[in-house]
Amino acid sequence: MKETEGLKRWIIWGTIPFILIFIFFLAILIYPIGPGLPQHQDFSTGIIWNVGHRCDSPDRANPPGSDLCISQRNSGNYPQFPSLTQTAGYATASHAVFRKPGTNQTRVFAIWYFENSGECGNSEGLLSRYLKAQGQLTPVSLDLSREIQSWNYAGGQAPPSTLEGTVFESNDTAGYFFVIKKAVMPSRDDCFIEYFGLIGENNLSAGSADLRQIIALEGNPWYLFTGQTGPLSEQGRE
Amino acid sequence: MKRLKTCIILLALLLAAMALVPLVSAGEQKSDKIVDIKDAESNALFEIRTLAENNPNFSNWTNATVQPVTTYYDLNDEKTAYAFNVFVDNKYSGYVLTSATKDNFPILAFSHGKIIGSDPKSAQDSLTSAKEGIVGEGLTPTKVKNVYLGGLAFYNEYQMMDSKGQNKGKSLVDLHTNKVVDLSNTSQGIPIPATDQEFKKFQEKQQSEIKESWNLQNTAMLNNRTVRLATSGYSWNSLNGVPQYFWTLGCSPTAAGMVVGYYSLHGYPNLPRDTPLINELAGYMGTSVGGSSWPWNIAPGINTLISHYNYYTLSATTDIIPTWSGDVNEIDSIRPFVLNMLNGGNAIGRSQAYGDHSVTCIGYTGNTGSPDQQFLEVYDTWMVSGESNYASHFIHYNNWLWAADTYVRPS
Repeated sequence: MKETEGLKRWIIWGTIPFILIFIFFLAILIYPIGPGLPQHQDFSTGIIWNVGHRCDSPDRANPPGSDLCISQRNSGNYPQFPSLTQTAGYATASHAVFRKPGTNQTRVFAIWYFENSGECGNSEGLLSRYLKAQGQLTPVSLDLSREIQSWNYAGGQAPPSTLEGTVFESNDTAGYFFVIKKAVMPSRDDCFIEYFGLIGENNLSAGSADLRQIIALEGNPWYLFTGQTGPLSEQGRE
Repeated sequence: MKRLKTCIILLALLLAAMALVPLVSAGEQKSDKIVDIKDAESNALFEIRTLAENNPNFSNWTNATVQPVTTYYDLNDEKTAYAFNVFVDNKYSGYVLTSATKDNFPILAFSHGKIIGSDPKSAQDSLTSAKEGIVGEGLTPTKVKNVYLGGLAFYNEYQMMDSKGQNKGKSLVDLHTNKVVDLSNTSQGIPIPATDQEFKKFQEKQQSEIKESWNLQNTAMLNNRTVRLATSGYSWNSLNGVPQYFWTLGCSPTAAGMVVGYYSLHGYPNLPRDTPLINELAGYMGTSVGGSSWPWNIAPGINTLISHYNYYTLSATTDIIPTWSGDVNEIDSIRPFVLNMLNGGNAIGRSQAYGDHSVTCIGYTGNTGSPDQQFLEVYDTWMVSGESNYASHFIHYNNWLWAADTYVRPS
């Protein structure tokens, strides 16, 4: 009898460490990894950094149909528009220039990042007033379902196929502006202003297909979770 | 003519001083920019070894030692530089001036000579100048600090005391001219030969170069260490051709994206790359809107993506008890992998700890027998503003509470 009780005690005490180890691994396995966010000031540079790989390899099979190659990546405000990031601590800007192989046609993807939505709204107002003086602003709902489908997105979360934005047309450029509030994640106030435009030409109907490609491919992840973009507003939006 | 000269000198001083002012957009904490004297000493030692190997004029510095001798400050009492005397066989052989802030280049000057203001005569001349520059009677100058504002701008700052020991202002003596200067007036009436825009551009360019210098310095020091370790029987390996992606939607899809992107570039061309790849992985891994991914979802997410593109000879598995030798074997087999950390520490050169973070491991340096000498080389999904390139970083092995590795292996 005594021997059986001793054995029981040994079994109980012997299994406790294994149970603890099991609980430990269970605990860490159900602990999520991430988000592992970079510092605020790195976003605009980083997004433009990611843009640059697409045409690096000629063997590229997917996504198909890409005929735009990156030709420049720049840190700093896109010089055609006013500098929006001079006063804000964590506000940065970058832009990428694409070229169409075999032509002189160039396209730009410019991004302004703001840590703070208030600063973003002020900049939105400043920018839209400037643009109104330079050309014409028109609200737009851009249907990208065809472009998104052509990229063969297989992920579980479907990106929004219609983006609300603003068309800007002036003498020497035309393109689309989007404002994305809470762009990085819903719990943060990060805000992007993006411009996808033609350089040195203003025939948007001729260049729109290129811009749609860039918007669907490069801008896409930043709309995926927030699910929405907005037009430029002179008052800014909160 | 004399007035023009003065203007040029004052303008040079102004530019030098402004070079030390952080950019508005830099956004880093002040503490992140401070270089402590230990790190500065490492920089100085690395510089003298590099000089000894590459510059015949400094070949005698091979086994030199350094000794900190002077700390310099700016006008706001912030440290700007450290001077180290260099000794060869216990004899003075020169100096190295290193930056005390990451707002300036890591190494500011070196010479076989003596740093200005360090010899007794210079100190006496400076004191005399301070006395001669006194306006008012009965004041005595007492040296309070060494000032360095960049370039050749060295000064001694004196506190003026009256006979009762009361402070009566400060005096600054330029150690090149031995003249008292008033830096508070430098901006008055001096035409700056550049627009605000041009000057800002110049500042941004300089800050970018400075950041790149620090990155190069860190990498070079580490590489140098790697070579030394290798010659001592240690081993290292670093994979080429792994694409580098910036954080998108979450660290785990981004880090896994670099691994899958590597295979897309090496034998599996139908796999997606870049932003669409990360986007898809985030979906397959079930990455939350907050950017978090469950560790047990990472490998299955990768596998779903791979099979979606009709590849069945590549698969991902997660090892929840990874070992140094296992990781070394993975890199030696030319297979980058995802390192998922809980409560990860700082990588070398990173001011921000990794925390709960996934990174892409592309190399290692170290020895199985010496855990304190083991480092993994990673692409951490982050960048540094001003970096012209995306650099790898080294993290000490086990500098985390727990880690799981996600290996992607061709079968």
